[in-house]
Amino acid sequence: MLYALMALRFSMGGDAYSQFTETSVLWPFGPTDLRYVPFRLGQARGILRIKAVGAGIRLYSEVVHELYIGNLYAYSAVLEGLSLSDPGFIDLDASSGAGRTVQRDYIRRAYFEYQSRYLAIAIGRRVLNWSTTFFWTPLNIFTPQNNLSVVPDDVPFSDCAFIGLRPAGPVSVELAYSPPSDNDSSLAWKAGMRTLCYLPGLDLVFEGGYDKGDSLVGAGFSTNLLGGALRAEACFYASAEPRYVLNYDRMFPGQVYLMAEYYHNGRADPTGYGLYSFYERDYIGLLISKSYDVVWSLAFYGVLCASDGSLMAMPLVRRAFGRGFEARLGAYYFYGRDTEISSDSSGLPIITRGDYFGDLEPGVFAGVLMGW
Amino acid sequence: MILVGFIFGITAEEILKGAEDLMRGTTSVGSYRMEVIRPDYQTIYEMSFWEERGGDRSLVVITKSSTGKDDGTVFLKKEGNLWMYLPKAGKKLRMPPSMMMDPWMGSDLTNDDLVHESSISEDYDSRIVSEEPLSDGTRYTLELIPREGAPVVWGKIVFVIEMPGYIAVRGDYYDEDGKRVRTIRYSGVKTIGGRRLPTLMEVIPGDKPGHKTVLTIMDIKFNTKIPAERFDVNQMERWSGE
Repeated sequence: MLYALMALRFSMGGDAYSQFTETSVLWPFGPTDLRYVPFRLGQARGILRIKAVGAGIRLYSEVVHELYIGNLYAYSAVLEGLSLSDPGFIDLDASSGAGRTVQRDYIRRAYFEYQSRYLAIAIGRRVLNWSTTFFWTPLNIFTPQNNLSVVPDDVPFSDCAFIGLRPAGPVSVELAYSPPSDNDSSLAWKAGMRTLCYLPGLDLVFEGGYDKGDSLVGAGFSTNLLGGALRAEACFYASAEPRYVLNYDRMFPGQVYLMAEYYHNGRADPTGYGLYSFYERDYIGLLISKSYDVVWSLAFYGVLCASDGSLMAMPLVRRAFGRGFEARLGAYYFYGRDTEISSDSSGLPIITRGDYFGDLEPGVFAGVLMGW
Repeated sequence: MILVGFIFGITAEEILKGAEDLMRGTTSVGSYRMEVIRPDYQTIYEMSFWEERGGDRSLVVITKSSTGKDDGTVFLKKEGNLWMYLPKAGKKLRMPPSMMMDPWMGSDLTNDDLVHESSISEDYDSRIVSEEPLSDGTRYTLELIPREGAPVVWGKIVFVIEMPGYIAVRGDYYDEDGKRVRTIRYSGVKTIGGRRLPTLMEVIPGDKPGHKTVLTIMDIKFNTKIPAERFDVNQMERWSGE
């Protein structure tokens, strides 16, 4: 034990990001009186990373400071969002504010991990991603991610315990458990087991688990096809219709990257964090990007609700500078028809009729990132 | 010139294979430092690598990046398949094979350049086009033309290699139209890993002034036995945290 602790090598790093967003949002002035209001938000985030590795042990932590400054509507929306978020069982979250500013400090990662030839164990706050697809990730029950987030490295966390068994050969088995957080009901715990199998030319995964009151089984595969990678995942629930996703990506000459994804969502999840899992619909996602000499990068993200033809488009331009600086400029646009919106009992706007993307206003955002 | 080489008992193939074997070995393990330089931008990566030539297997772990963004990212290539592990997203995924010949991490190198999957001496016919006497040896210029059906991207390569010692000095890479696409300059010759070899490789694109990638061998060992687990997809997360 003493040897293992003496073998640890410590290192630090981090990044700072600031962004300004301008858009409009629907605001409830009464149960039936919803109006678009301007939403202007400046936000900043600093992350400090500390890690220690050695002798198969890894200790990793990230401490985050967030600052939000907005107009009345942005400030209120941020306060509402932060009050709904819950840090989980490592409850070191603290927030404060004055005027129309909100500040928050919290621990985003804090875990212990031990890895050996046949065994991996980990406990604490971390990312546990069990999917290989991009826009929609049905097998990723522990740390659902929104890969269209306009804030870079906006990856949430899971408080969980993890065991990985890796016998010699192509098969490994992983088990994980995540307890409900203070804001959750007692049924909101998650548990899962998956088997990974890497065969020549084919990756397979089989998963079983329990996610917020429903049990599930799932399977997925990845393989090479026509110079690209084809990935698929399906998840079947005891009390809902299945979700499945098909993904293909390929690099073309001139550093042009293309990814297309089809998603069928048979299980509505109004509380889900993942991208557009709220309604039982079919979706198509598209990502086209091109990099120019590592300095400039252009990307276009598009999401189409195949069930009603409404869509979202997001172009993003990134420019890297020396010493870890990066500037980002992006916009989002929505198209939809016949939208009718009301507010629920808590005053939040909900779509009562119309296309999926019909109720949202376009917006622009600009940010600067500095990493070290 | 071919006749001269023949009289002195050395052929272009022997020089080329000797230079290739010097840099590769049956296995190689070590660490690189890679600087990607642009007119107003520079980024640095440090990485560890394990390469097994016969088994067509390689592993690259980014141990440190100047932005911190890519630290711990793992690339595993095995029998024509490529996987990547991204620790920040907690994601391990099979990558499209089309990424193999693309610029690696935005540099002027391809993944193939880095892990030496293809063999130049096997894919190209070579001949000596000139030789220049030096005070302590001879500097040979070789011209390489791709063999018919060989899976290569270059239309022609011109290598300058110094003998004795098979020390590469420079390589000019041309496309199928005869246009020079990039130049690699080798320098920093010293004994490392029990061999005397160039430890600095500058890759300069032909048509982009101010662009350069500098690859420095920090440490290298040749022909050491690499445990099979090093190339196991199931173990990639483990190497990320090393």
